[in-house]
Amino acid sequence: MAHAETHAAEAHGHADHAPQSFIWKYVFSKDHKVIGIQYYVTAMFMALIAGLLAMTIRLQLAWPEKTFPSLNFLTKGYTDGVMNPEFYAMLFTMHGTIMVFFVLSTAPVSGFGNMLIPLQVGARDMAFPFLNGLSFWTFLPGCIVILSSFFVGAGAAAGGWTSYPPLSALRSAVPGSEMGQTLWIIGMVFFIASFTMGGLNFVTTILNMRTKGLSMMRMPMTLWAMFLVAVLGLLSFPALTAASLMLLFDRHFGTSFFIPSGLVLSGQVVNHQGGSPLLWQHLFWFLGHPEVYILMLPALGFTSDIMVAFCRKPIFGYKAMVGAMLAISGLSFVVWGHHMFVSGMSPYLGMAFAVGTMLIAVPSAVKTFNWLATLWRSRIIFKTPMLWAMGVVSLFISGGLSGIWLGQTALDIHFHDTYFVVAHFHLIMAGAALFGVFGATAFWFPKMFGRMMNDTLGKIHFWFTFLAYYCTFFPMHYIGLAGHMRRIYDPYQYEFLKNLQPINQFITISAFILGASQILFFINYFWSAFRGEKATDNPWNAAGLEWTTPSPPGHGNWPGEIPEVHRWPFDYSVPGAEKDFVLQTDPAPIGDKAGSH
Amino acid sequence: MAKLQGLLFGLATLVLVVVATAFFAKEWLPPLKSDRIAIDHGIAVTLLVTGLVFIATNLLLAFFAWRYQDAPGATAAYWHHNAKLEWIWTLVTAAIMFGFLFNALAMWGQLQKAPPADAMLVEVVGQQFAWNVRYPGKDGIFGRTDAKLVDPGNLNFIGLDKTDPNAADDVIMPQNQLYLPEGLPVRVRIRSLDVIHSFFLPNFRVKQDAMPGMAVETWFTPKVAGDYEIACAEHCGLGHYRMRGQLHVVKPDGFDAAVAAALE
Amino acid sequence: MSFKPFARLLLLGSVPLAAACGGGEAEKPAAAPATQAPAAAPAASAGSASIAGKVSFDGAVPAAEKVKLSADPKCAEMHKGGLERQTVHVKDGGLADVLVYVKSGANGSYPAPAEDVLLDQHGCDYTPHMVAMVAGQKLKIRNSDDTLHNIHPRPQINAEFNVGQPRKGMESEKSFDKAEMLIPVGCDVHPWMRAYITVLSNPFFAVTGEDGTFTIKGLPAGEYEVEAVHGKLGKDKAVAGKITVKDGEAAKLDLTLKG
Repeated sequence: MAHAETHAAEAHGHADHAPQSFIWKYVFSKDHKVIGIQYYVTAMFMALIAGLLAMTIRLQLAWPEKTFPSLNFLTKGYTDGVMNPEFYAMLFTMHGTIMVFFVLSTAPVSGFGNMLIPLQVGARDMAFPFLNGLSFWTFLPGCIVILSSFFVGAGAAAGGWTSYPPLSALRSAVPGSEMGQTLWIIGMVFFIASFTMGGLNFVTTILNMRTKGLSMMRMPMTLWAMFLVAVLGLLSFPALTAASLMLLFDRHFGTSFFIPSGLVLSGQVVNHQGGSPLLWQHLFWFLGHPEVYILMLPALGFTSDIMVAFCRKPIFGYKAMVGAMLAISGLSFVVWGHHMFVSGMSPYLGMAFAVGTMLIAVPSAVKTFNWLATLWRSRIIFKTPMLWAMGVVSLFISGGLSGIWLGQTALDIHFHDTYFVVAHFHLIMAGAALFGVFGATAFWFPKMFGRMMNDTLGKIHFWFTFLAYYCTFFPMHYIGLAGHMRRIYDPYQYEFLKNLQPINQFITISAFILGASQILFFINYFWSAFRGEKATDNPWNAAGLEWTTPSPPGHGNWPGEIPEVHRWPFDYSVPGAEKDFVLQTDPAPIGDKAGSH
Repeated sequence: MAKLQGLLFGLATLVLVVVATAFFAKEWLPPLKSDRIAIDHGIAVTLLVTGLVFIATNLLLAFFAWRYQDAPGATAAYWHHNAKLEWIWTLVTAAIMFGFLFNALAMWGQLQKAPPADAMLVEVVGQQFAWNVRYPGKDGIFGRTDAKLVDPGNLNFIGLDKTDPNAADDVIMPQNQLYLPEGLPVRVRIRSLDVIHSFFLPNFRVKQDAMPGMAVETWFTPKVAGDYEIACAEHCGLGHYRMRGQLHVVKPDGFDAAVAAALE
Repeated sequence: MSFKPFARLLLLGSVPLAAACGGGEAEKPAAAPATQAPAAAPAASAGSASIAGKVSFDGAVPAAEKVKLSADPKCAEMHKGGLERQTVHVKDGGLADVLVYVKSGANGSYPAPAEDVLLDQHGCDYTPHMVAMVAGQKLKIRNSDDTLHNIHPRPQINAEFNVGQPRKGMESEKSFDKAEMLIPVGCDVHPWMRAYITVLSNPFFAVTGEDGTFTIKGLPAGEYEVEAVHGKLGKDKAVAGKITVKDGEAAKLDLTLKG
């Protein structure tokens, strides 16, 4: 409270001066907040596209026997109102790719990471502002390349987001395997380059630029998440870079990294020998599994930080929470093989990966129990961000438990590549990440635009989304148990799936409601950004360092000196304090061990 | 308003618990027709344990949302760790996980162990978009195959080298037709001609990827005669959704006749 | 409203929109005995000479095969006892499904005829098995079966395509830009299905009917090398003959393919 909020903005030693022209201020900006918003809005646009792809997928699954002449304008997708099967493959491939990389990695990590890290560590900007700007301008071409693949040749990549060769390596194997797959690889390389620049920035900023007094063990959970996510990205993405380039060489320059000998495609001998399709799976999932934690950890961090502010109670088991995140991050590197239990790799290898997989459930359970303990004897204020945080906890429980089913090697024989898996990862990975982003948006909106999001609209959006989300993804467990395979254009070709059509129709209707509800979010976001109620500096009475900046923070974040930190960011309802929260910058000797965290 | 939100959250969670419980009480798994009942038991045990945890945690979440709401005079406890409690739930979770793990690994070991010596051998080769079934014949040895000999125009889909003596008595079935005798263990050798497929028998709890360049074996015992479906579970191209084969489990004494009739 | 042509342009690249207006009328399946050149020569290069004749087969005729269609129950239903297939079809010594075309002598450029060429998928088989067309001409591919077919030609020179047609009555339009002999066409769903597409640079060709007879019409006067080629027998077994025709004359040319 004692920091210098009345100081004049000028005259303090900023590293550089605020840019004046529009183009340098908002387009090629080096300011972490502008870059964060650029990432966020781009991810939102990509989410809109990927969401529409999902709606088209659902339309087909519910009524594959109907014709939709009104969709003929998608000249590549529909003929006489009937969806082309190859287009269906493009839809689920691109839905997965865009959602995983260009939305759910981008919005929480690149978006909120850039937005929040300097504010939470107490820095004027990221360590390398130019690299940060470059990172966004590397990301954007990636988006354009990925989206453009729909419009070239036979269409976008159609080998699934996992791009398993030989389907993705042989250009005749599936229509989208021509130019579409090549553009997929190029788009991914752009994305990875951008993510690596971001990761370097994150790690450097968090390790080296924390303000005085902010020890690692006083960092908010969001910072911990961002730090670990950056490390995970830096260590795991190179595997996919290498694999993608090898795939590119297999496709265009006659190498055989992933293509074995003796293959015959459409009656013609394939002229490759010596490669292994399993190699790709190992390399892909070496990234792929840490990647799902790259999506999830920020959401778990947001949830903790949001929850304390609306429970008015310190986080329960901070050290255990940090330890759990560290354990999850470490273990995430030794579980990738659980995607490959039935791939034909050695059964002993399967056993080893099952061990890691079951172990990772322990820190995940610890996080859940700690959240419940945080709620216990708290004083919950139900504002929009809190609803999303509780939504994350709910999805984390539901999705986490189904992981125990899938992690058991023998049971996975039945569940592998069925809708049970689809249910699992949509609840835990996609759902938790998405809800986390929505919560973070509502919570930190004042620091983005200096205004508040509309709370009523936000709550309506939450309730529609929460209920529709469960209605969409929970029934997928049942059809998965029944053996419903993933990536099936017309499930009802199979006798044993015919009776599942009503459930698929229910899922589709729920998905449409889920999709339509997001319009509320777009309205709320853009309306509030320009017309929302003006926010005070600390509208939630939160204790974190970022709430000592003005809303919105100007160039350099703090008008005066960067404040010193004296405690952790979780001091709520401290006995003896005059308010029910104590700012991180408050030197008063109150709180647990007088704020010595 | 806060009261209503809390109630609503609790209510929604309760409804979720009730609906989920009711639906999981139904029989969703395709009826089991093989000896792999251990998988079904594993699923049942997992459902029981995770189901109870699901109900307990969700009810707690609902209860807390309803009980600990902001109201005039309400206060929050300044309580942020309890080493004993944390150790207890960490260790209990770990113990449960290890229980699952050992059970799963034991089951896995059973499924992966060497097949009985008298198991019947059959080969299934996936291609875009059909399953090719081959029996080794009396000699029990498959004839040589060569990609260069593949000639769909002449109906030689797997490239069987007819000059190989071992190939002479190989029986190649019409595509997508697999016949197995009831009650006898069967070794299925799974290969692929082009891309990755996955040999999936929903009623038999069998799934094994057909990995190009590899021949992977899995074995099981069909228990009940009847007609079943073979599905492809791995995305293999635009016709993936209808790469559907038929599995006919027949009485052992009628097996040869059934195969002969199919070839007729 | 304005999005559609824009998207179409983007999607299909350089497909000339104007040409899409022509050839709306569906052709009948090519069942007539002596299949004519599907397209009459364009007016500019039209001549009045013709070459008629018969392609004979010299060799052992392989026995007809019965293809078991149990791979797809829908196909099996249409052919209860299996699909009778005779890839080398000989009647009265005449060989069917042979492409007879002017290999050299027809100089100059010939625009693609406006009519479509039809390749029908019917009864889980192709009709016709030998498709001949002029570069740039439209190929209409129709699915007359109540099952999925995917049409997947494997050209060496032209661009490959692979189109799924999940329902009865679906039609797709495609074309090949460059001349290419005997492009194998298959359906990955029904691996036994096989047809050949030949793309030529002139419209002077015919495909033999059941009895091996053919007629090439509308030739300008001149000296030509005429070649007969059969899909199954392949390019190596093709046989060529030289012939000179005058305006208005109906010349005769018989060729023999060896088995």
